[in-house]
Amino acid sequence: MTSRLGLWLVLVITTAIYAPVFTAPFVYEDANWTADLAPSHRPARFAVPGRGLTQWTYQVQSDVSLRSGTFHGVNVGLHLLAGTALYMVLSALVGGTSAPLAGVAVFLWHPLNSQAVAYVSARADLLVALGVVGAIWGVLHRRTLAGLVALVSGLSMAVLSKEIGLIAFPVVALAWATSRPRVPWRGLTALAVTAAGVGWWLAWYAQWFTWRALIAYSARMATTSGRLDEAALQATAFWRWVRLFVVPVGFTIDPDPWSVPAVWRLVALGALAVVAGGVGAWWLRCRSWAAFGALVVGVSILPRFLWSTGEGMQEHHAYLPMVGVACLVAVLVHRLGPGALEGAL
Amino acid sequence: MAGWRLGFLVWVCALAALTAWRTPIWRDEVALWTESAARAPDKPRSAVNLGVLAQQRGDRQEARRQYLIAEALVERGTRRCREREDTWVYTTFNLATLDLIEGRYTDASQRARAILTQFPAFDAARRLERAAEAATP
Repeated sequence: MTSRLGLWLVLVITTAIYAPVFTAPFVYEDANWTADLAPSHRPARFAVPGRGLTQWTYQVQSDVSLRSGTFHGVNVGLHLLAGTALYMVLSALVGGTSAPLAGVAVFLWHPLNSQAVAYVSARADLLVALGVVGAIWGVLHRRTLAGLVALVSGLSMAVLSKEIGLIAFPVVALAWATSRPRVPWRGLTALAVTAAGVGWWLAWYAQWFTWRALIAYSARMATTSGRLDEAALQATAFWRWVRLFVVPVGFTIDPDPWSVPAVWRLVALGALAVVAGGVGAWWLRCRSWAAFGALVVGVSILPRFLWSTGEGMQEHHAYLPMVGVACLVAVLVHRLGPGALEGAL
Repeated sequence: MAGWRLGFLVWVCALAALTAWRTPIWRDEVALWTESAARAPDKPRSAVNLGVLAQQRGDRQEARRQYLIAEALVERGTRRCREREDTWVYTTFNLATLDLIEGRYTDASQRARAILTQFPAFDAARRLERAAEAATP
């Protein structure tokens, strides 16, 4: 099977899998976005920092049609685009046909990603992931004009789609460092610190304006729980994702990590800290693309531990970390030997 | 190696099948929130949203039942501050709206006042309070 045919097959199957959403209505918070598409609301909504591109897509669509199916269709289209871009990245990383296809199939077909695709309000996560994947491809082809364009466009797309898109900066720095393992430490550190500084400032900007200026009762956003509780909650949500990745049943639009006893939430946090430390050490030791994939998962969820978002991580928030998982899967399949799956395909 | 290949392919195909099985739930919001209520029974948001959906289809009795479930879960006080306040506001406001529709003007007014005590800038609650007071015989 040629790589192009294999990719087309995966994309067609993905479209078939998601066909039911083409006739799905708007649900839950979708109404917030669509109600705000009225011209009288546009200036205020369009000015939301951090999500301008996402809102622009809703508005452009509203000019064409307010049918929910078209909004769902764009989400599915973005999912397919993200999968195609990811295939290009994985092909550049590991070569061959089967390993990139394996990674992309897991990314496109895993039900953990279904909320991000089927829920119109989660479009921001799709756009961020597409931008991040584009930026990684740009890093891998940075000596070409196409690579530089992809890098700048990908970073811009990620940053303008959602606040969490700021992690595109550290991901790009990691991809660059992974692709150049012999670069001196001083240069790497400078790059990382610069990226972190820019990211931190932009995150503060987005956080401040999005969460404090635009929400009427922002003074009440403070929670009764402390930082440790918050972090333990997010860690619990993370381990729920891991469980859903391995045993993909038990999905819900509104999970409840607070229902897990406090002691287990702390255990979850401790376990995550140990795993994060291990992954960091792994990457530092071998700078492999498998370690990069695992590190992308960690970097993608890191902002949730730095700022209070008022909620545990939902399933659609797993879309971006799944990019890292797809890298990991592709590299592992590749390491099982050249053409590990070629025969089966 | 052959066993590994087969196992991986079976797993990936199972993922596709599970996603195909999962996707249709997005066509039915009641099913989405019913599932959520079953999987997160202590979380009041599912009950609030089921109440809203019942109200939208004209089933006021079911709407009130769901709002009262949400209210009880909020009062149990196991949620974080912000989430509890959000849900409390939505639940109380929706109950006040139902009260107004069903002619329970005193109840509607009391609930609206309770919201305004904590959120004086909530214009919709103020309008509802005025409407309830104007309608009170």
